[in-house]
Amino acid sequence: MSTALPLHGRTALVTGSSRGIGRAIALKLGALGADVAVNYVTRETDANSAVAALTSQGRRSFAARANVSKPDELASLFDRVASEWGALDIYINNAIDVASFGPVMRLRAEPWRHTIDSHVTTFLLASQRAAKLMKDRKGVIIALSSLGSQNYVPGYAPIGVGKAAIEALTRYLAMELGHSGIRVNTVSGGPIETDSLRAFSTYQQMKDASEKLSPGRRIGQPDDIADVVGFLCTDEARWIMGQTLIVDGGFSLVSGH
Amino acid sequence: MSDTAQVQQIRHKVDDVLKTRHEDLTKTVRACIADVLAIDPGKVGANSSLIADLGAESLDFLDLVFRLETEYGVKIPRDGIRLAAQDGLADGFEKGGVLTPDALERLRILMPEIPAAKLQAGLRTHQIPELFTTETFVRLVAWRLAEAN
Repeated sequence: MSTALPLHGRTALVTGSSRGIGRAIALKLGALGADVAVNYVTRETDANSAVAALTSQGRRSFAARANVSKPDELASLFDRVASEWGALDIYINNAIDVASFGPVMRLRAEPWRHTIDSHVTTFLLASQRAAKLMKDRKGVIIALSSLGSQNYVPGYAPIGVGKAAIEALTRYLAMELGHSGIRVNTVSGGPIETDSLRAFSTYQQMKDASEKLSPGRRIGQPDDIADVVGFLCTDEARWIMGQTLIVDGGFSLVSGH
Repeated sequence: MSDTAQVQQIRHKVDDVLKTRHEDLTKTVRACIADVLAIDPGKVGANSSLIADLGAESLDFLDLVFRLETEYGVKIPRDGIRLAAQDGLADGFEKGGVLTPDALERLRILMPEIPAAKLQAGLRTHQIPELFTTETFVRLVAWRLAEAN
């Protein structure tokens, strides 16, 4: 039966997948047949439960602790994947480390640099490592972005700029890795109900706006993103390259109101 | 293991670290707070409320946490106290923005530096940062150091 699944026999690494959107993606890829490495920094118990959910589906899975915003830990994470599986088919760039938030006139250099780095430098270094493990395979690299890369979200400048850089890098990676058979895309989400979003002071406002104004009439859930990421990983998405797909229940159509 | 036991375990780990490191952690945390808020370190008391006494805004907490992570080489979850407190709560952490009785009980375990009178029914989630004192961040660092070992 499992040979019929679209990602059967493929291996995936999802950063920041102990909870939230990353976890939903890990489980979706598992449901589509992939073996999945679960990455976490502090939430070991949650990471282990994601691994248990994947192994109970009959997938191979392991949890690997690494703060991917640190290049040495990122390198160790890919070393672990290489030693476990020898190759990689799917890399999902999900984890970010936000150290800077607030009005632009209050932002300090070091937390700003760290936040931008944790977005785009991490994506660059991870894609380089992933591409090496995808040699002679139909590799897929997908990054996560959000509407703050294009629109104004109060206090969001460091993250919005980091996401915009990810979207730009997606196009360059798609061009330069495409000839090796690797597809690179980004999925940009609107407000998604996660612990991270709840930490925002504007959470309730975004939830209300989603419910009242957007054509989707509700706030997004992690599975709304995971289902699209899952599709982009399959061969049916073979002709989508270097794109940023907005997946927001139409929130961006009305969020300026 | 019940999840309250998990929270108790965190509390014990923190207390253990502080047996030997309370003084040096407090000194560093006070210096970091003074730096982030651009105030004289002498004004930062162990029980100072960062918002009420020292004029911090919630945005300053992110700066402070980043400073402490850099100083100690540990990762501090951005919503660490809530994350530690909310695991497996049958009735959830909050309802309509108000903390549940179970959540309050866990916060009393995790935040012994906060007077019990301030952790009473009706407390709203957005009011939690108003409770933070210097000691809150000392304990947060101690927790992450304990987990890193």
